[in-house]
Amino acid sequence: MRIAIAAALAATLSMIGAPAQAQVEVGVINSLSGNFAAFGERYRTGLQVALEEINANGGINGQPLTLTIQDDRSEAKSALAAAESFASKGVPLVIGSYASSITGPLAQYLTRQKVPLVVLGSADDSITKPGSPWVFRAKHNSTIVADAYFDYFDYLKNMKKDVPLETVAMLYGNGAWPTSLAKEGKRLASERGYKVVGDQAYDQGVTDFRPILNRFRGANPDILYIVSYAEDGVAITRQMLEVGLNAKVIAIDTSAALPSFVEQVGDSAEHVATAVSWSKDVKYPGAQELYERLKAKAGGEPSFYEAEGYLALKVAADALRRADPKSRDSVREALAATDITTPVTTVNFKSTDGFQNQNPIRSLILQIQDSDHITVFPADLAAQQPRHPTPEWSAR
Amino acid sequence: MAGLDIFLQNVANGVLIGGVYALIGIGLTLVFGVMRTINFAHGDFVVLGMYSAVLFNALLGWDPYLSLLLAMPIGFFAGVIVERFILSRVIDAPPESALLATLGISLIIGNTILLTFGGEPRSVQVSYASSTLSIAGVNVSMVLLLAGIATVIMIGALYTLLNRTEVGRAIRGTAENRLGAELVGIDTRRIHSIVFGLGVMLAVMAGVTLIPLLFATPTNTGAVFTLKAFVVTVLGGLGNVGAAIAGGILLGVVEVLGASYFMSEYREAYGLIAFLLILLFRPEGLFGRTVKRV
Amino acid sequence: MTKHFLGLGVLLAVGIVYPAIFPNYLTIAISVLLFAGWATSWDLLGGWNGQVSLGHASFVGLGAYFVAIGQSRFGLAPWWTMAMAAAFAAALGYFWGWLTFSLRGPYFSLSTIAVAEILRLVAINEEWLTGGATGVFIATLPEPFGIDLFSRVAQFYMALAFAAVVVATVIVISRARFGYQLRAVREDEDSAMAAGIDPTTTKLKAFMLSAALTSIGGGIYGIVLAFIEPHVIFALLLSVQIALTAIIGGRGTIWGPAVGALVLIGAGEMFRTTFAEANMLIYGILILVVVLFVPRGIVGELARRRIRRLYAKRAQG
Repeated sequence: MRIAIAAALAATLSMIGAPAQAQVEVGVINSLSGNFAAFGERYRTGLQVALEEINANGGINGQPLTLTIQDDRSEAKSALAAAESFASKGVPLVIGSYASSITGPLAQYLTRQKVPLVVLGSADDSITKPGSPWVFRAKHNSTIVADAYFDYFDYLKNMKKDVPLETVAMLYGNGAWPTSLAKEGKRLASERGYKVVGDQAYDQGVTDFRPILNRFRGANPDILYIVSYAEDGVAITRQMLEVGLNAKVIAIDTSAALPSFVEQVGDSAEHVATAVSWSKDVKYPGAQELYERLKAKAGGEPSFYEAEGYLALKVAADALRRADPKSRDSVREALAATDITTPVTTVNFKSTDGFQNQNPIRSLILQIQDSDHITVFPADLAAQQPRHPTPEWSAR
Repeated sequence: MAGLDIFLQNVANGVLIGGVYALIGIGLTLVFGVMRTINFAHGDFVVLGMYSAVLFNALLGWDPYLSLLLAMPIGFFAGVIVERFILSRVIDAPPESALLATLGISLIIGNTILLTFGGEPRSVQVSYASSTLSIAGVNVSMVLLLAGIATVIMIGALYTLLNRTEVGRAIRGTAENRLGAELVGIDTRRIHSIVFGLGVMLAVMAGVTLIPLLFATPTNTGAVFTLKAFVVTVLGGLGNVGAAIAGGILLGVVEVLGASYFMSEYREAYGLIAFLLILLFRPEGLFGRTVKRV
Repeated sequence: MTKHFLGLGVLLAVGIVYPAIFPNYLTIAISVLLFAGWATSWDLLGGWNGQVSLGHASFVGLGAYFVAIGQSRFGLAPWWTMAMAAAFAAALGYFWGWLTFSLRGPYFSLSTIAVAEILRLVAINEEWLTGGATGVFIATLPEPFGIDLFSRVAQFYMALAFAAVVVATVIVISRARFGYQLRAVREDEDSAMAAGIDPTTTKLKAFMLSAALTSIGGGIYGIVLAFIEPHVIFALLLSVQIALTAIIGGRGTIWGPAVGALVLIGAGEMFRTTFAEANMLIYGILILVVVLFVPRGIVGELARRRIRRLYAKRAQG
């Protein structure tokens, strides 16, 4: 079971009681309660693993690194209060948060306060496009992820030329992330010659997808491009099987990437593809070892969210080593000059195509094969070949 | 598939989804009818039911329907306890106090679940999760069918309880006129406890029967169910248990047909518009008796 | 009335020096002031007039969106867009009230949820109107007299002015004819009608005023966030929080909603920074405790005790 109140209390008290010796303190704004708590827990695990590693390797030029994590209750108003306390406390930089509705106001505020922000979880394009000189994102965004999906579809098309992939049906939640990923997907579909034969949005909280799935069944799409919230992928997949909606490729973003997806959907999860920023079997040096450590810390199967938490702190620590932690300007310059390789990805912030300080990270496509998430694309990083095409439900 | 076949399929789905909505709604209707309290924690009790099924499944490997045996009585007693220690103390205060109390309870339930189970969505994987039954060319989801049967049984049992037993008579008396009921010797405090217990039991039952199909999250899912329960309740008629089933089915059909033939992103709105229309033209509900407005 | 205005004056004076004393606690103070203003506006309808609305987030959203879209798309200064938002909110309140005021008690409350949810869906789905689900940025703002409206100090004073105006409005109304009409309708619509008061007109006026004031606060909130998403700003949760604040503080009292804002936001912030993921649980327990032990709201309970003491004294002679 999870950490009880007592543990949380103890953690807070130990934070308050820490002696004021020479140390470098980084402020973290993370969603530990409220709607995004599922992600907040995962990010915290990743941050802690990175923190231990950094301090075991001499901290920030000999000074220990400390993290002060403040909960934002999954709402902007609390995140801004936390940001104000960090800004006035003189932390060299802030890491935060998950939802774009929180990270957006946070980025605006910290830019005006001239405090560097390393984005923790928010992937919406709008955070770094147009962005600001003070906001840095090492993880992916909607454009990168949508590109990855369509590169994957192209790759499959070339892999088996006898399996035509021409039509796409899109189903997405009406939140910021699903909407922007769908918008980007529609753009890419027309650019690369796919025909969009279904385009349906739903409100968060909808639990019956049969009307939409039945509509799609009539359109008989080759590819299903689904962007769900964390929880709905389970219901969507079960109902897809129930109404007998077949497709040659089934991609479900967000929920299919969670380790619990396989366990909850069972065999029906097979062949489903999903984009992530990191996976345990990706061919990066140290990825396997990081996986073991994340797993030990999480006490369960880690996902790419933990890795992103780890990445954010690694990036921050690297910049702090090269800067004067007392000067936010120098920290910002150091962040802008980042050029590191981590087990999660390489980081090198770029400002192109309207983006600012966005790391051009490579998104990975995972496919669920034999009840496990397997990296299948891009080919040079993949652990296995994709299983293609997805068999019809009746043939499984 | 021809247009008519698809239409029939959609209607069938709407009716079945409506059965689920009805199941979520009956408990709220009952509680509102008797206690005049808008229970904001209703959806959280549904979620609690889901997590109880998850827990029994993880610990004992039970099928959700088997765990009903334990979950329902536990739900009933939880409801009685909540009523005794919290709601009974505010029943004579301004009506909004009870509403606030249920809001507090809702926060407490959601966040206690968050602290024990974590925020990750949970579900129970059963072999019949996606099974269908084909009746005259129309595919019917096994899980929804089972939930529908459970709804019918439950409403039958509730109907019998209300109309054929002494307790039921007392409940109806309390709903009609609490003071009058007290004058004829009914212990309305006890009745309130029983009613709230039944309300929670029904919510828990709804949660358990839904878990094979859906998923539970600690803090997001509850509000969705509460809202659905409100809509069902008003559509059928606040306080009218039998009509909740009709309200639920109406909501299900309106939503499914709306989402099938119009813009699916407005799915929730179709139900809400129906809800508003009913409120405006027949505030006593579609099937309620014409009584004076509360 | 003079007593209340005196109190307001003292609070304003405290407010004016606040940023100089606590320059690092402005965000939380802005939250308190905005919620005080919203809850007091809500209370005009919900407390004084007895019509419990659970849809006031719609007006907050309206204000925020008018300011954000006015600025980003048309280059309109926030003071113009706030005035437009207030007018539009009043019109919406009129229409909304016309639609639902035939309903009483819980039926009315439920109908406000339905209307607010429909408005939320419109804000999310109608991209041409609102920019859709991905939200709107406020990138630039005019600088009247060289004041940077993005600075927390300027925003603090805006929120202070907003809260003060709303409270002053309520003070005036509490002693005006309109205030008695509001209460008469709350206590018994039929008797009010017999006394020559038109309940529907009274309720409509209260709703329009409440909506207009709320939307002005919403405009300020939009500037504070500088980035708004429809999910968050039109959320049922926000509506509920506004009503909760007023009720906890004391419905139908002048200072109750403001006290409620101070207690709830203050406690919420304290719990957030000390209890980590358990903070919402503790918050729920706090609400329950207040409901159980102070059922009339904090200020409502204080007022009742004072009256009791007064009578007790008189009885003793």
